[in-house]
Amino acid sequence: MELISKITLILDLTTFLLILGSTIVGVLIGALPGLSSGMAIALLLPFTIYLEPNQAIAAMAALYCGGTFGGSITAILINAPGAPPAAATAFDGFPMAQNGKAGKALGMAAVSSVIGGIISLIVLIIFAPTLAKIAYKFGPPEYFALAIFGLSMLASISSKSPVKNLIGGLIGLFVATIGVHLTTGISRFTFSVDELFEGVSFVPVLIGLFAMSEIFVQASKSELLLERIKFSAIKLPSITEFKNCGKTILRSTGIGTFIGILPAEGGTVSAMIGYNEARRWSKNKDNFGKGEIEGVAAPEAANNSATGGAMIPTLALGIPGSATTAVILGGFQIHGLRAGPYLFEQQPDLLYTIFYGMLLANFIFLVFGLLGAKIFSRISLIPRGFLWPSVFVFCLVGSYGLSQSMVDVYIMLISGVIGFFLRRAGFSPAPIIMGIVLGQLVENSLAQSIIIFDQNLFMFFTRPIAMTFFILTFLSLFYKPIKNLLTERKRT
Amino acid sequence: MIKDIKILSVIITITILLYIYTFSFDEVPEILAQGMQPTMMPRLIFTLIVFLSLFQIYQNKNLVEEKKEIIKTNAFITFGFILFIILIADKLGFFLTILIFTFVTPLLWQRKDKFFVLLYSIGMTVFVFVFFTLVLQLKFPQGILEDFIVRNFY
Amino acid sequence: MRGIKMIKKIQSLFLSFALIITSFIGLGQVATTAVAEEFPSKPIEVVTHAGLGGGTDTTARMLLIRTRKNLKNNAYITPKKGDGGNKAMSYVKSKPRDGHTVLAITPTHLFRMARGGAALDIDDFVGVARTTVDPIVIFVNAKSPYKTIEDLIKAGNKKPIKYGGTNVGSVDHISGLIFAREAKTKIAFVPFEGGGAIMTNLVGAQIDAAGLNLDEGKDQLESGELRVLAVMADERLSALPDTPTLKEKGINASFATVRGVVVLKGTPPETIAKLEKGFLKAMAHPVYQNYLTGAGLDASSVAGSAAWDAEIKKIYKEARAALVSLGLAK
Repeated sequence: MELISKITLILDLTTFLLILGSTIVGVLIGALPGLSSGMAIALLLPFTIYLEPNQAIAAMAALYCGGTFGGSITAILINAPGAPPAAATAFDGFPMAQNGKAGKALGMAAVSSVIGGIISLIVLIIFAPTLAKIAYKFGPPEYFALAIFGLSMLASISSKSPVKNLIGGLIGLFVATIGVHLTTGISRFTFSVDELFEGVSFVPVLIGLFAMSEIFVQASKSELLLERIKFSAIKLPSITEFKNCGKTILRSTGIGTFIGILPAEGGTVSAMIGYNEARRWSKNKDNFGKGEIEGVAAPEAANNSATGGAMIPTLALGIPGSATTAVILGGFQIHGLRAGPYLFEQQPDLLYTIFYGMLLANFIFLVFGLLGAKIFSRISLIPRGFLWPSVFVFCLVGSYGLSQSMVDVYIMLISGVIGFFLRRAGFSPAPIIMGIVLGQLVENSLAQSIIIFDQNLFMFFTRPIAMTFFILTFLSLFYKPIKNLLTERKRT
Repeated sequence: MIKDIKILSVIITITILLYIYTFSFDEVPEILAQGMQPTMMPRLIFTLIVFLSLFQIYQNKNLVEEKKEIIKTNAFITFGFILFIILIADKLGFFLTILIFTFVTPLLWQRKDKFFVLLYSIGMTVFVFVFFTLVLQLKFPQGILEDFIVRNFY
Repeated sequence: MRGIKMIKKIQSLFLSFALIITSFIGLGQVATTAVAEEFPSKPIEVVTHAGLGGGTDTTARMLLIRTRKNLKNNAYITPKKGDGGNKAMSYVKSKPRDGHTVLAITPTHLFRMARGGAALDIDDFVGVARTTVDPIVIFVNAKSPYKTIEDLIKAGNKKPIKYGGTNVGSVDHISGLIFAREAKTKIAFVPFEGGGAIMTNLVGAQIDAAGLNLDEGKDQLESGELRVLAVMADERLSALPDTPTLKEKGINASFATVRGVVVLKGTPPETIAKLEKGFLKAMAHPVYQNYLTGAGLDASSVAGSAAWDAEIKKIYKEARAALVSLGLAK
């Protein structure tokens, strides 16, 4: 009951407008490739000192929610995920837009994002202190097992040839090894480029693989005259379509919330796993990657529920659950506040303000997303000669912006060229992205496990959580062949 | 020709070169490496890539290359232009780069309405300037345009 | 007629465009002349080595809020990531020595210099002001049998202590190694990606001990999940009055995550004095003081040019000796 009465905390005009503004800024910044909500919060952080602490933190949390959703808009419309978590949304969202179903994809993204976001927030407010403890149960061996589970999806994550998917995944894993090796301090594949010492930044690679390579694809088509305007592009999904995605959305929400809680993971991994699981259990398996609406619902529900999930350890333990929440924790410091158990016991008002701020942000971007879907979907109707040069401008600015380095721009270009040729040869960007995201986790957690286990790998058997993931990995790889074998045997 | 043989052989060649490159890494004493040498993971990855690529070639040995869409000349021109503009972007300054790019590319892509294209390219540049530099306070490389303005108006 | 109108339109468009550009330069982001006029004659650039939103970035941003007002001048941050601060140092090196380029320095830079081959040498800097001091505190899990630092040292002699820290070659790593050497014990260093990861692994009992900044483990200390054994400082912390320093225990290992600002040597002394005054005044303001409190630090973090300059030289010397003795530098 206390929870409900506390809604008054955000009901004054300033707070409401602030949250409204932050959410919309978040959606827009999230939508621009290269600019992330974390970066926006970091840049705006010093200005928040003029706000009330509660308002400032609520505004940051709202910006975070909006930013995660915003990434999906550009992922769908121009194949340029505005933020890494939206990468998986592009797999089916962009083909849908190309088939003239941009409005359906955007509408589905908005609705599934909100469902994922709200459920994870409810989990946050009720169970945060208990669930946060999961973070303590996850040591390097558990992360290693989880990463292996993630890697087991490489072969099946796109409908392209499994062997090619694996090769793509390995290329991604290789990219992740560039830079200084965590456990020995040796620099690898840096070719004396100082900027590479801290590794290849993920965002320029993402922009290159998706948006830049798409520009090259579009350039190949440029002799074609303007395509006929498709009025169906602005249609929203039907009720049946929403209903059909219900299960997918709920499954993704569960995955996203859980993975969001784990500090080393985040929206990108949960979206990938959510997407892969949706494909695994879907009736329209073969349509994935070609414009399947479930393929939009799954990653969007997952990455937005990971937002709430990531706030759990951030607020309950003071451990950032993602890059953006790390910046939000910086915001706590600036206002002389502390996250952690202390917050729950002594500052419930701040907690409720954050909760309602994020809840409100979800409703705002639902309205914004559904109304906006009609407007944004028209972007897919912009003449190609104007649309793709603009995309290039955002690629350029976005890849430069994060660390203000030309090297990132070159990385973006190289990834674009490589991405273009790999795509022509039938490789999908999905496993490459998955490989890059999991690469460091796999290697570092293994190295740490080896040290912790005194170089005795059998110690993995003493870890129940790790073993559970290993068994899941085994099942997900061999469930089908074993089932086939059993049914065959029954027949004979 | 066997399907995919070109791209797979490129991948195999690059991978082997990178594998050889790992021998130039600094040696780490075991006391520091603590059970995992920095070369272990990359070498494992490279071995798997080569193995899988060879497997794919073997699997495709009876498949014949289907006709792929040819990359059109225009695409090469666009591609060359993008490469060129990115390489000189930090000399030109980002704003001039964006101005030129957004003017030239639509023309390359067969837009006929030059005036409209010019408006678009100016609008795009101004938008980037207002939004990124004024609002978000991001600094971009500055080049001859900015130098020119400074020299003549200051 | 229509053509002329159009040209006029284009002209006015160009004009407004030029106007915006000039106003932008008016904001002062372009600088070509570096005449030794009254300082500051153009905006001050603070060069950091870390990404947006990290400790160094946030500290610099908080510092600049009031500095802008004090120096009546604009100031902005340029992140130059790469090679343990070396990228930032070589960038600063390329700038004129007029006080308009300030480097935000941390032990990362000093250790990078001490390893050799960096763009700048320790004698190329003059310290302007210290912004934060955060000593390294040795934490263990509260359920562990180690009640005192001696227990930990003794245990390490039987089986190496699994000691968590950030990346290899960082102040965490070196301080751990020096602690082990001075205390005549053994550690197996477990590198993690950041303070949060170290803390969770310590609470989860994956590792035995870790060197953390107090703030990184403060909540878990208060909730009784972690215990502090010793502080790597010359004097006890006001926040931990009962925790001994390593120095008291006869172990010569004092290390802290310090942050501050420096300029290149050759900058006019009056300029340095002006900068110092601007920074110190900014850090005395509640805006910055609140930030310090929020980060679990106290006002003694702030120090002026003379003290800070001496301190970075001292840290460098110690880092250099430590790295050489550990065989990590020649």
